[in-house]
Amino acid sequence: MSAPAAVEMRRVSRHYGSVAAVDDLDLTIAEGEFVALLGSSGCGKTTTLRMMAGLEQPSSGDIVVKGRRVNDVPVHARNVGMVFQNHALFPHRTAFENIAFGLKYRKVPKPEIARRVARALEVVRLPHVADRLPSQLSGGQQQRIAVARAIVIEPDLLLFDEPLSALDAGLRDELRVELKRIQKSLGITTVFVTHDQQEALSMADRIVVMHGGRKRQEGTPEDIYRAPNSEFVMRFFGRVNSLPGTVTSAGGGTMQVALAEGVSLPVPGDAAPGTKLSLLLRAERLRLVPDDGTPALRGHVTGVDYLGMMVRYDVACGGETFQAIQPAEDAVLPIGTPVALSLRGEDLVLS
Amino acid sequence: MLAAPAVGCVVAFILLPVLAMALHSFWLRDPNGIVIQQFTLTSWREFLDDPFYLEVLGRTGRLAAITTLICALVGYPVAYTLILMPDRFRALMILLLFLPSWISFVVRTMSWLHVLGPGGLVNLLLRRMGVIEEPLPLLYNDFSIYVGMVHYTLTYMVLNIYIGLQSVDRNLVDAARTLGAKGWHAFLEVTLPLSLPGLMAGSLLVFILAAGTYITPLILGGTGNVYYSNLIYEAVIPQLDWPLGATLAVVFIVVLTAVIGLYARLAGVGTLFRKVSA
Amino acid sequence: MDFHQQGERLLARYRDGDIDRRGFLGALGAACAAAGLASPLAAYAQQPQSLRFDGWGGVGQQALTRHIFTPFTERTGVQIRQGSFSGWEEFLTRVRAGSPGEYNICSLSNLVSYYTFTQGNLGQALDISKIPRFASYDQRGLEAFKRLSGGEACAVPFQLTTIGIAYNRDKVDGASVRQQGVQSLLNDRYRGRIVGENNWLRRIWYAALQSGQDPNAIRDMDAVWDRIRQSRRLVTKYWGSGAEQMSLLSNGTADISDAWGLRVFHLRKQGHPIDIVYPQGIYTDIAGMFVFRGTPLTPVYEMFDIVLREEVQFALAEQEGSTPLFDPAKVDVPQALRTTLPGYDEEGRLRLGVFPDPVYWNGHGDAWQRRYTQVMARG
Repeated sequence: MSAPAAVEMRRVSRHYGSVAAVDDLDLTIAEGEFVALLGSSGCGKTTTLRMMAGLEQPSSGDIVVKGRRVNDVPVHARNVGMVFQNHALFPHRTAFENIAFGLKYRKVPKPEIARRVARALEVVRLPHVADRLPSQLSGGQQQRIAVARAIVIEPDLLLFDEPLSALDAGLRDELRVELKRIQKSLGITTVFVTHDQQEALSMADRIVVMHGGRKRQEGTPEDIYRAPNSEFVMRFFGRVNSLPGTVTSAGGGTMQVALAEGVSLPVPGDAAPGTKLSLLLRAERLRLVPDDGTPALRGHVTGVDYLGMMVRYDVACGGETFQAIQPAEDAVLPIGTPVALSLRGEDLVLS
Repeated sequence: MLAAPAVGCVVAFILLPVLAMALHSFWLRDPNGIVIQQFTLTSWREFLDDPFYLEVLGRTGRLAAITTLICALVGYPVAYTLILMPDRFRALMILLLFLPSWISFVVRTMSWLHVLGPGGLVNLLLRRMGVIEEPLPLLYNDFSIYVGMVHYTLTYMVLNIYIGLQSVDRNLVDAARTLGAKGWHAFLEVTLPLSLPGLMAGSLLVFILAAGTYITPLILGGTGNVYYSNLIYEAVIPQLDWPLGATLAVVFIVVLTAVIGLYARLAGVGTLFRKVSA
Repeated sequence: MDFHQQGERLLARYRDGDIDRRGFLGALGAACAAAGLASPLAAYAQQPQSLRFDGWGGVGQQALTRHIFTPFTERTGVQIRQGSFSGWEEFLTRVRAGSPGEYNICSLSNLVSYYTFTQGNLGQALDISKIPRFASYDQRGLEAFKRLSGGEACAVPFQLTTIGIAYNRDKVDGASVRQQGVQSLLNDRYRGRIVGENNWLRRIWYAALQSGQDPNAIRDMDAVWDRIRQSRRLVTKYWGSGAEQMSLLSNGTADISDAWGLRVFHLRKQGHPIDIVYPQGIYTDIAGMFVFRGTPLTPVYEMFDIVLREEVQFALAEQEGSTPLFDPAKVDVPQALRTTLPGYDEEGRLRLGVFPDPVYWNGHGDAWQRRYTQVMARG
């Protein structure tokens, strides 16, 4: 066996009355890894995080940190750094005092505290705000101080509970990069809870998608995006079209599926000819092309959502409406434009 | 401009009455108790020449201060328990906390006679349990006054502390704990200092209420339990000396205003008055 | 100011018969209209067929309603509007703050308040010859009233206000109280079991008796204050109301107290083991009804005709414990009442105490009240 994992959740459940917030969760996080727990609200991700911190007790199962079971270790003895959604800085303490808070409890001598706080302030690039109260800092600065407060204690585990969701968009992007940089440079094992798939994709080494207290899929951002193991996971990462089709022939892991009169594509999978299927396709994989008369799905534009870099079209096709996201390189197609739909078999996923 | 109605109310209902009272204190009172609108310093001289009034004022200040202290010590744990309760229990508890205030203050005060009296609940129980043979003197002394005062003012204290505690983000305590503070330390370093504005506001309110009550000492007090408001009552009602009553009242208002001013300065005006109005 | 003076002049003319009622009301209405405001006087003008009565409230006033006001309204059609007060000083403040004619009749329980009211020019002089029933009452009360107001009386005295020393006969030796009289209230043996009224006049009265002085002519005030201080060290609670006095004596807090005879009557009626004695020189006062200035007298005389009926006074005595002040030569108080009524001793004799001299007490009132407050507050 290699070195023990930084954190392990073994069949952990947390019940509130009859409701299971976390249900039989297994999770292993390697030393230095950055894991994102992704899910919508109520999926159990925050409860999982709080159990790692020791702020909540599991109803059953074990939490193991570096090979040691920590279920019974109280919060203050776990050596975790936690960053909260609303920064949770102590409003009556200066930035310096906030950062020094954890060091004080670790009996670090005063000069050492001063040194380490200064270093932490440099890491978060705010060396000049030590004497300010949280109310005298901007939202982004507050969150950086909160990060400094969490990392200065050199935690075994760094926990983020939606740390960016209270910030505005520009700041969010900036801090995203910043957090990633800090995490990589310090090499702290990090768990990051978020409901924002962009955040998870861009920051995490590994994403754990959660729903209903259970793990739905885990893997690298690319794995999860490319090969979602369920419609649920797929839909979590963007807009998805559902196309009806009929298997015409099959064999050797590939089947021919007819989508419309004269339109047939090879799709990975095996099903008896004649089977009716529903195929899923990401909106960004559906292309609108000029109608050149060759056999294709045809429709016309019914809605345009101009997003700057991209354009999202609603296209009526037969009885269905599909969504297509295209780079806004060409002129935007006006509503009513007749179009042909172009798609590739390998982008289709069986529902 | 928007403040005009508020300013109008303050002038009409606070400033003018106080000024009218101040004016009254300079009027003459004839031997039959009739007030003659003629300038005189008689009442003020009476007040200033006799140290008795200031002595009772000091005694009243001590009563109010001790009442405030007891309320704070008793009220904080109550408010803290409220915060920790699940929501629906909390609603019920706050309702229960308010329930007694639907009953007249005088009746509530008098009910203590049946609890603390020689044949009252406490003595009855202690005697039944064989703890005592003769009833304990629980009534008509300082003890019963403090019981009555705390009973009267505790709700205001608990509510203000509760509001103060409510504004303390639970995440702050969690943050302190993850950083290494034990529950007790987290309370001392985070919860307590941040709930202080509520405690301070509650203390001010309780102090003012306690300093102003005369019913409680009248009903529950014993021999010699005379406080400043009792003197005002004595002057105005049985002695029919409105100018002296007005003089005493003006002094009281000035002293209390000074206390509030000093207090606001110490506690920080902004936080204090935000809590008072909350 | 002008308007009120005008109204008062009108009232005076009306009373003197200088103006008939219709004319008076018309003139009053015109004056109101001229003043351009709705005054209580206007209400008075619109409702001449009612009188206002103020008393001590409670069951006592309910008894008055039953025995006096209801028959009165039935007989005359004049309605009685009622109010109540808890102390005459407080009531006086209200009367002063009111407008002339707003108050008509009130219960009067002592000479000092009568004196204060008449000194304040609040009274309406009565023609006692219009109240023939008063002939069967002890005339000393009326004479005292006349002296105080310097002329006609403004009130009718028909009852006695009595004070004695009440004690719990199960806890205190009655013979000892009878023998010691007011000194019982300073008896160290009862320390912590004594209560007393919180009233400057009566505390000074008892202290004067305790120091061997005539309460209506005190020479040595230091001795008086000294006795009050002494009492203060022994007394658990100085009560402020008759109700409080009753509860202190009945709930076991106190075994002995100076006490209102009327309240003791009720305690005994409820079966409490409370006895009362009337020592030599004890405070006694005259009670009756006072008539305020501006009150139409015809209905007032009619009311007193009911008030002073023997059967009414006996009914009130039996139910409420009020002691009627009949002339013993003209009216025989039934023996049954003599054994229960406040003021009567065990042999059924009326034990008249000493009346306060209102001129004397009013003259010292300001200074003594203030001193009393201080002594009570700090010893």
